[in-house]
Amino acid sequence: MMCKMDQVNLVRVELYRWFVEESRAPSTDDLASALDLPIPDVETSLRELAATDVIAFRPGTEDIWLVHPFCATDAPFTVTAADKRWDAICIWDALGILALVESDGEVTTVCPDCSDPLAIAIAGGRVVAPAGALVHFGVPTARWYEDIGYT
Amino acid sequence: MLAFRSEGHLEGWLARGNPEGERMSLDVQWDLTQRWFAGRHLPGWRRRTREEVQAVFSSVGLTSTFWQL
Repeated sequence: MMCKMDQVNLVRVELYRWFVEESRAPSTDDLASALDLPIPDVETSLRELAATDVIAFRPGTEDIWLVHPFCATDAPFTVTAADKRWDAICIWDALGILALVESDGEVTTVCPDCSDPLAIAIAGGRVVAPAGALVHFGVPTARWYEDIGYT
Repeated sequence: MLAFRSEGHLEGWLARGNPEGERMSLDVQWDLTQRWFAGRHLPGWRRRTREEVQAVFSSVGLTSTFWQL
């Protein structure tokens, strides 16, 4: 019989497989079908992953929102690589997607000051960005999970 | 975590009342990001302990109180 942590781990890996290969979040039915698990067991695993901040539900729901660094909904950072496209909620996660899929690629967003497009590429494993471009963290690390949508 | 075109653009944004935190070059962010997310999608991954998270921050020079858990 599979223990709870094994099951949670299987669901976690399957979630990431969907994002990496399909560029989107699976439904609970998708996960249950792919893993041959009862839907309530999948739901329990998703809650466990959310409780430990591995994933996040959309506020007030149990809909998959974040499977860090991936975002299941439209978000301010777009990542493209190898004919795939993903969304991310912040520059850390956007670059994190390229790190996770181990690919060169491009992050596009807008500068929060002027709203002009800003493109940051990873090419040959190195950052290619406009001279002087930088990152700003607004919230100290210890408070990130008070509101993961604003850091 | 937001990306700005330049220090000048960040200063303009802060001058409009947005809270100031910490700045980081994109090179350091990329270094940190690779360390942070490496293998996260693989079966053998596990959540880092508090000490391990702190060690990742320290490994790229993030040691100020802003980065203390």
